[in-house]
Amino acid sequence: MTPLQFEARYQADWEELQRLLHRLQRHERVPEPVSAERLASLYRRACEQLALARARAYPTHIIERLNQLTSDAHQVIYQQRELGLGRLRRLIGRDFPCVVRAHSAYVWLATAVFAVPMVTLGLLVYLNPDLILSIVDPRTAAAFEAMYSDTAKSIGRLDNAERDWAMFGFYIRHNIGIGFQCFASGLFAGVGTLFFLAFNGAYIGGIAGYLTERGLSSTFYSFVVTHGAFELTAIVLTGAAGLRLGHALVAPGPRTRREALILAAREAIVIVYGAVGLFLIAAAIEAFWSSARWIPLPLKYGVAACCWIGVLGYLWRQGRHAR
Amino acid sequence: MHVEALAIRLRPRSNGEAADLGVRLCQAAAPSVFGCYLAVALPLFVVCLACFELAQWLPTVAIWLAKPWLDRTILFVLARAAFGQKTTPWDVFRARRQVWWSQLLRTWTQRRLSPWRSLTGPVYQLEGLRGSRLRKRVRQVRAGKASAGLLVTGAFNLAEAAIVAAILSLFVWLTPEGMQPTIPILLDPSNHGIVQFVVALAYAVAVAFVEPFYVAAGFGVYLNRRVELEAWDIEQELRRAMP
Amino acid sequence: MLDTVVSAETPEGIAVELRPAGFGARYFAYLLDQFIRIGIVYTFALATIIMGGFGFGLLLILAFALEWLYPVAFELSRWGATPGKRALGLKVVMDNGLPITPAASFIRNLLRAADFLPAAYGAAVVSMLLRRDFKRLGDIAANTLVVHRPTTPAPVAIEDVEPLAPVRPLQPQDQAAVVALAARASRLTRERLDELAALAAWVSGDMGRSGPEVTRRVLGVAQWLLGRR
Repeated sequence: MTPLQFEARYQADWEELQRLLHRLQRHERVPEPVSAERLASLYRRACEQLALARARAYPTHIIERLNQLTSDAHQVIYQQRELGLGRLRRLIGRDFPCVVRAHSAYVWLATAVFAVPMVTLGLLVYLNPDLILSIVDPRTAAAFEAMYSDTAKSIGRLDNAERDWAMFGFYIRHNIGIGFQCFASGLFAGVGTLFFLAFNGAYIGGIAGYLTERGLSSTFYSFVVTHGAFELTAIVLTGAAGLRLGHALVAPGPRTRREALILAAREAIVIVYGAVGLFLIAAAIEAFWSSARWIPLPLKYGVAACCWIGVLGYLWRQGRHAR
Repeated sequence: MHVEALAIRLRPRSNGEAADLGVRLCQAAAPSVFGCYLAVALPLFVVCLACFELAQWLPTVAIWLAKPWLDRTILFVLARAAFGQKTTPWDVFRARRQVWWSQLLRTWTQRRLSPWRSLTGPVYQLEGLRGSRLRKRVRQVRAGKASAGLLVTGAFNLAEAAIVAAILSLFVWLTPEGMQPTIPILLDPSNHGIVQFVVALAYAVAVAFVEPFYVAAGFGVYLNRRVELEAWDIEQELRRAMP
Repeated sequence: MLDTVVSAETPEGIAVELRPAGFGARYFAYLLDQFIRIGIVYTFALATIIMGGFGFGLLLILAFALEWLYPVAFELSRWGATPGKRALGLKVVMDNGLPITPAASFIRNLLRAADFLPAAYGAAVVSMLLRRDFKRLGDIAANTLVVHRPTTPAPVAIEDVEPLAPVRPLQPQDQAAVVALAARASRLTRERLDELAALAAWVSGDMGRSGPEVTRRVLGVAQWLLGRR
């Protein structure tokens, strides 16, 4: 068959397919509905003709036309048949907690490096409040005190305008920034991660100790305890991911450093995805729930307890038996 | 020119796709391109940064001025890569008369100011024309593609700016909370020198990374122009088909 | 042979050609979208300025929605692209060429936060320049690909000359080359066309000769190959 005969023979099919696709793409309301069978059969035929045209090296314009027709039809026929939620569900339901558990050694190390300075500095500052000035300057210390004082309209911020949304954006940026520091500085042989974990732990512990000593513990803890479940966990997890990177660089084992790093990044990035999710939840809670004064304290602590149990239980059990 | 030896699949493309093909070429030839380019660029950047002692603004300007001259090394390697050849710094050194020292005055003046220099660069460097024939040829290649050349320059200048911003903010990101430099500290005249030096350093890194891709993108648009003007893709096919 | 094209296989066993879009086009698409968003926020700001604090809250919600939902909404529309991408002829699809799924769109747009790091989309720029398929981090995570939208090929006008049978049977790819020459003939200069036709002169038995007459005979062979007898 010559190209011209080929074109002449199938021209009508192609035009019909084009018309059907056009109508479907425009969501036109038409008197008679487009027959799915007809569409499918035209599509299959176009696929065959494309394979034929390629095999016989027909002129480019014929191949291009068929290529475009089939790829358009392909798009229309498979339009959003599934939500693609499967991948997301797999990530949340299995991959993330499983990868975290597979890195438990890193997670425990990160927890220790984060928690030990936090508790130590918390106690030290509680016993000797002047030590706070070794972490922050006097102005910042005073600002923290004002934020959690009983007179502040909403907790945890200085201006009391209704800016929950603005604070939400700020918290996202701030949280993800800390996560980024912990993760990316793992590239400095893990030393950067260790430093940031310890530093953030010490910082948070110091502030907590200081505010407790000042007698603001009820405002402060009721503020941080709920979103802390997500935020502190996520900091530790990004730290664990950073340590994984650092370990791959320091001790690549039988692989080259480059290969080991790529492999480590591929696994660690799953932890980072999950941690970003946790940071987003933390930011939302921090902006809309933690800062609200009207919620009674018992309720806040109750919800916080649920959150902690939920997060830890999720990381502990979720996806354990999934195949 | 042996078109059939080209290791690139030619076909008429849109300008954007043509630039992408150039970037793809640069990726494929990355060891050759970056090996040769950095061998030339790094010593030059060190000299430029050393000029900091003379005047604080000098390193940035010197690196900026040197870009068209550095482009010639990159283009030399890319043109060989288009034919599937590898290039070592030694190859560049042997071709130094053609790569480094010819058209020297033009490179540092008119080429520096040309807003589509990566598109017209191949005409100047690879086609071996001179005088009025060269000018005519440049006009012919540029006709209808000037905007594409301009967009390539614009896009990759933005890429450079993004990377400079990224490197600078890395300094801020990786400073612990509470010790981060604030705007007043950065604007303090006593810190002016160090800030300028860090900016120059970041610019050097950005140029070291982005410039080969920029030259390659322009080279891609240039190749596409030759496909349009001279049907190189068809010549490629016909020469292969010859019995 | 170096090319930017990736091919994806359909369930019908047909390879669909996808042409991933690289840094240049995507950056300008992004800039265009950004201008549109700023324009919307600015217009809205002018309208709400009289409403005081409540209006400011609305504005923040709008800005937030535009930042995160604008791309998702447009990518899930029938164009599969934001207005900026559409203007530059781009489209977002899944790796296998299928339309983008809602979850994938959410993932790739949420992870713009990661691409933004450390500033000004530095990670995205580096990733797009280094990866063969020009993906940014969000695309890698969501298995999506930004491609150049295929354009309808212009109908080719082939000059009518007298058909001429080739002097010997031709391989399919040789036929394609001769026909492609004929299809391009009208856009080439006379001299260049003669040069190229001389390369194909063997198909009409004019090996080693060139000139307008040879060109005409080669184009005649192309007509014959297309099926005119």
